[in-house]
Amino acid sequence: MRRLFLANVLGVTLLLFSAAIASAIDVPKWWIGSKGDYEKLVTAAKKEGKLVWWSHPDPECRSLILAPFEKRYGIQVEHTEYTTAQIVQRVLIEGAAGLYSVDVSNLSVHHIPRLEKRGLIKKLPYKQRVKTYRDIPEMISPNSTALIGYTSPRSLAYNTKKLPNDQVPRTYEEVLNPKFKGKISVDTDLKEYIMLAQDWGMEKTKDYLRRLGALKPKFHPNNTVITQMVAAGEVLMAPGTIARIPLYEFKRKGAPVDWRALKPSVPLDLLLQGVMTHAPHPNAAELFIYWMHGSGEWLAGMEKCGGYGHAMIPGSKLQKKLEGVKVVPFGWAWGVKSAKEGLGEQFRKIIGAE
Amino acid sequence: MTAATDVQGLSTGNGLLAGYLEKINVSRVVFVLVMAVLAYLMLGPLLFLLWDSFHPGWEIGDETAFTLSSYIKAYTDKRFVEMLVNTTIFGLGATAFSVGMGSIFAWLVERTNMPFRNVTYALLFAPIAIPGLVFAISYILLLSPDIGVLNKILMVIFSLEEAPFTVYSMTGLIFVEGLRLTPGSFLMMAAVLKSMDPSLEEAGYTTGAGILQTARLITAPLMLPGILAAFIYYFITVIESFEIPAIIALPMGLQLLTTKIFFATHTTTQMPQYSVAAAISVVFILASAGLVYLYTLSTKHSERYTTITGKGYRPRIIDLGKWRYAAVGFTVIFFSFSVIFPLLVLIWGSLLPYLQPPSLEALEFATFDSYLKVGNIPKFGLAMKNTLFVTFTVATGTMLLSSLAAWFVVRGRIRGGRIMDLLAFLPHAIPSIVVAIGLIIFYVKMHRSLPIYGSIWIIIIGLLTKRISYGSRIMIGAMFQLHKELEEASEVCGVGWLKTFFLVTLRLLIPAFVNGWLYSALLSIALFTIPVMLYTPKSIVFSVLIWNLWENAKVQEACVVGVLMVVITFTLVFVGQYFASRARVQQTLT
Amino acid sequence: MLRVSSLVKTYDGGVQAVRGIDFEVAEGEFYTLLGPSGCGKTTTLRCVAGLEKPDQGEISIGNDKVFSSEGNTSMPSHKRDIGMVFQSYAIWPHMTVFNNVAFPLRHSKRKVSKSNLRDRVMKALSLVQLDALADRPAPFLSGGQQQRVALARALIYEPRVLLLDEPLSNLDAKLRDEMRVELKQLVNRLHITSLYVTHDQAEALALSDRVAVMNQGTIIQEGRPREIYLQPRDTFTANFIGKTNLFEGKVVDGAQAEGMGLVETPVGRLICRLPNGAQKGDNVQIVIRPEGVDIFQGNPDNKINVVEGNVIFATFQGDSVEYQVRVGDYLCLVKSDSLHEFAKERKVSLHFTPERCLVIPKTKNSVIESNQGGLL
Repeated sequence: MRRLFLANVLGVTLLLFSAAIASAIDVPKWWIGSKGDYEKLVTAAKKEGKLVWWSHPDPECRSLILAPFEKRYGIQVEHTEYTTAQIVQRVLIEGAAGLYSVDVSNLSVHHIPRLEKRGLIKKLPYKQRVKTYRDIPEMISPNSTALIGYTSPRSLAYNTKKLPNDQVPRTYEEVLNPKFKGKISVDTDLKEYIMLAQDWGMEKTKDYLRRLGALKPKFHPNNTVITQMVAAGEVLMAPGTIARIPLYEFKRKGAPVDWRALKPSVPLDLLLQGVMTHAPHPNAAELFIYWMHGSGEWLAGMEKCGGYGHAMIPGSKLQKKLEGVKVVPFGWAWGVKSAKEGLGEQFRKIIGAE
Repeated sequence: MTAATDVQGLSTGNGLLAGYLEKINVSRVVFVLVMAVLAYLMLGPLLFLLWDSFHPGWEIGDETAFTLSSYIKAYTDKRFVEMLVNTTIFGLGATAFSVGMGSIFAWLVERTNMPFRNVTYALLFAPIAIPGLVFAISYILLLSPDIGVLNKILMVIFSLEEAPFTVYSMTGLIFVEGLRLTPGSFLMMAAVLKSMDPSLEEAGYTTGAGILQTARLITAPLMLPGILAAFIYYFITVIESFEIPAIIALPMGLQLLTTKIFFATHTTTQMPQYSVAAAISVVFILASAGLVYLYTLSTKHSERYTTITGKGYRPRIIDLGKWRYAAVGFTVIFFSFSVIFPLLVLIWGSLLPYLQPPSLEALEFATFDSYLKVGNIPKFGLAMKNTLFVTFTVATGTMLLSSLAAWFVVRGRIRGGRIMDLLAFLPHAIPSIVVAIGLIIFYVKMHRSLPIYGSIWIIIIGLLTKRISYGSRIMIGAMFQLHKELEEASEVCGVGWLKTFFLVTLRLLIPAFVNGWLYSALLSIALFTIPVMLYTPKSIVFSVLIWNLWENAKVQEACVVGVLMVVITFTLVFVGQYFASRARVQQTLT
Repeated sequence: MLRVSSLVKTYDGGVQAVRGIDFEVAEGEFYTLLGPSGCGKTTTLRCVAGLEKPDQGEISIGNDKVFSSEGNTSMPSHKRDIGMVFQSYAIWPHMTVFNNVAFPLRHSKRKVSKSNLRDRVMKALSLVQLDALADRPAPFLSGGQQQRVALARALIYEPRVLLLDEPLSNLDAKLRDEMRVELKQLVNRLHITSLYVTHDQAEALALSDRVAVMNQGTIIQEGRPREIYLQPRDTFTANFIGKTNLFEGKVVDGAQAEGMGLVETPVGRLICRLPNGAQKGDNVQIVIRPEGVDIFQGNPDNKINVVEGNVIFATFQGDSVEYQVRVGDYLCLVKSDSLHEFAKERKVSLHFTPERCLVIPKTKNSVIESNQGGLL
């Protein structure tokens, strides 16, 4: 009898206590869904206590970007650096075996339909929950399964010491100046031209690649190597360099490198974030991805750290930097189509890298 | 009577358990165990490779129907012949260079009285620890026609109009790759030489042949099986390696097999096509199986070469006379290129915010900051701990398995030794990235019964799989030189097989074991492809740390960790050398 | 103590090394397998040691059947309780003399206490007169010393059978002779059952209680050294054991007294010792040891078994002189006292002692080595 009574008291106390917590939750301004939905989500997320995030930003950036989220919600984010290719492959393999270890993944445009087809990526009411996503709907993937976490414009990095300012090309055409023969670095993925082809059309792009190939550019396998080569003066310039880490990092440390948006248009690569269907911590993941661009904290952290940015968000550093430049974002459909057709490989053959 | 005393009284043969135990043949049990472990480690990747090459569908999350498309993609290309020719030239060139250099140094260090032999031995290891990317880039900074410092210096000295050298050529590529692979082939050749009977060489001198003549006419032919083994091994290593070609061959647009694999598996603009790499590897593996078969033919009568006999074995040191100084000169020149220049660039890189050609003005930026802040690198301590654990486990596991396998291959009292040989060798021809993907698939599927996916053990298994080919080469070479009567003497006088193996066989092969251990350890520290694919935050290791630092343009920090790795390397090498030489001293001197 | 029966061993590749041999070694007996290289003697020894696995047959040591193809049993080496001295000595170069010898006691099942161990090792070493070198590293021993270490190591645990695989073949001539004597004394003293393998007939004759002559994987003849030497049962044995004169012949008259008969040979008609059952008209071979031939000058009183020839070559050997004498188309080997010497090209007479002219049936075994007289 007495035991039953105690249990009752305990139960009631707990109920009151949790109600007190729930009522203590402040609904932030960026939340446009119902208050109840938010409270429910936050309570469940806190209960989960952690989430697993596979992405590739710098581990030093990790704290800048994640600290506000972890502090606000008391949810620990376990972060592993994998490339997007690694991530999607793992998600597919794990999915096939029914093993699920990741909550939120960093992905490329062409991965989304694959994961959607396998039912591995979760459709979420982004536009109904978060103000930013409602206001900038092109941030959300067509089936509302992923959002653009950050964007990377790719254009000309050049050596400021070896290339006087007046000689730095302003347009893609000027890059083809014969005097730059053998002094240009090109990223072997040629992603910038895949994106530019949306704007230029296939014929013009292929023709451009043919002419660039005739200048015997040096092909390099990754962005750090390319920026490194520009900084060391091994090449004078590298069109298609990402205006972010490592360019940002080298420049900050005094390397003679700088970046310029070439005319007529700057390709904008999109890095996506999505919640996995079978996420082990579904609520924490959902909260995390709403918070991502709902709150300004994520973008602020990104901008502080290695020049990450989001060109689609008005007022962001990157948006300001690219003001007046024609930006060509990687189209959702184009990303999928170009991947399917192996455009990168075709282009590598044209330019002579493969 | 307890079971234990029963075992003691085996010869009386009473008791059921004793009778049963009596029937157990220990060497057969160990054979089955080793075979099982090897098959477990090796067959997984091999079968996955084969399957994947015909079923690329899974890679994009589609149905896994049978198709030859990967083979068509890999082998029909308008630049295919060009790629094949380049790959062959590169493979043969770099292999010949590294095995040739390795043999010369093995001979100088093991057989002659060249001064500073111990330092030479230690320095030979250094290039392994220098991260491959930094090693390659250091050659851009040294020998690029535009910014290469050596070129600049030579141009000033000889008042040249143009840079005399370029790293962007087939020769340059072969040179840099050859430099990087020399330590491994040195060790392979040293293991062979170490145990070659010097009296055969002495016989050469007594007939009036000179040092070089003897080396050419006697030493070299006797070493032929060893040289051949090293050649086959390194040929495959060269055509699969990517670190150097990534920096030197890609910029030229030079077509190689390995760049083909790179484009297929590292693409950011479409799904990675591991199956294309697999299709290339399947042919690799068939080719290497053929090469290995040729090699076994050449070692069939290797008992002729047996050298550590029970008749007392005292390696004789050849007096080079005046040539000693020539030898030192040659060594210094070689080390300038293989160690000193890249190491200086690494140190230079660790002092400067980004890599740049050495110059006085750049020196202004130099700072030791990054050394002081090395502890601030996220996960540095954890990576250090994991690296040490992985290194010791992989190296020890590799060498124990390799030694046991080598015994069965060489002594071969049990059928199946040859299969073991192939099993240990073939994974060498599988690109690391394919091994890693195969492991992920396997252990994800197995996760419920064997949860090592995501743990440090999957990295250890991956590295073990790739390293055993080297370890078994080293130990097979050494085992061939050990007279079997030394082991038989132990068995005959009442000591069981396993005890004999450890007390006599392995004990006598300690020098080779230590060398193989060191090399495996160093490669486990340095190579990143497998750890990068398999790590989790908890199982991060140095090579991954360096790679991530590099990716995030923390070049300076990456160089600092690189320098630390070189320091660890040297420590390991000196400790290893101490043990190996102590083992040798006990064997030969008082 | 040791019994081998119907032993067959074929190597991979179809080489039949041992083709069904039988022999038995009594307790305390010194038994030698003698034969040219490749005759299967070492293979047989290694089968006994358990280092090779025979295809067929049976091997017993004491009361243990250590191998039986029928019973499908094969006891591993380390359980057979045998000692073995290897041709290469197989002294472990990473140990001292003491540790080499102590090894079998330390690491096998027959563990002994520490003090006992030292006593026994030192005793074994003093047995081979190496007690002074106990602490020397093994590689710093001379060949003869290493040989002794190997012996001490094999004897220290008093094995049931001692196996010796050409233990003296790697020593120089003088040392070999010394070790031979020592070995004989040691083995006699310890009364240990020994199986010895050699291709050196002098060693075999000097050391053994019994010798088995082997050729092409079979035992040709088995017997006491004296029997083997004086009464070879076929030309192979005759040829292999010592120098010999070998003639083809035909029995002319088998009815002489006391087993003697008359045989027609290329050097003339000789009275010889005939084997039982030899018939007139049989094609036979005659074996005569060089010391069974007398050499002298001038005409003898008795013309029986005397032929004439010219000295082609004379070798002074200290205790004797060895001649090559041409008789017709034949070259005869003659060994005589060194007191007289007959110069080259001298005309001499040879007397073949009838008791030493041994007739053996013609076999397929043809002439194998050159240490005999024969057709020019």
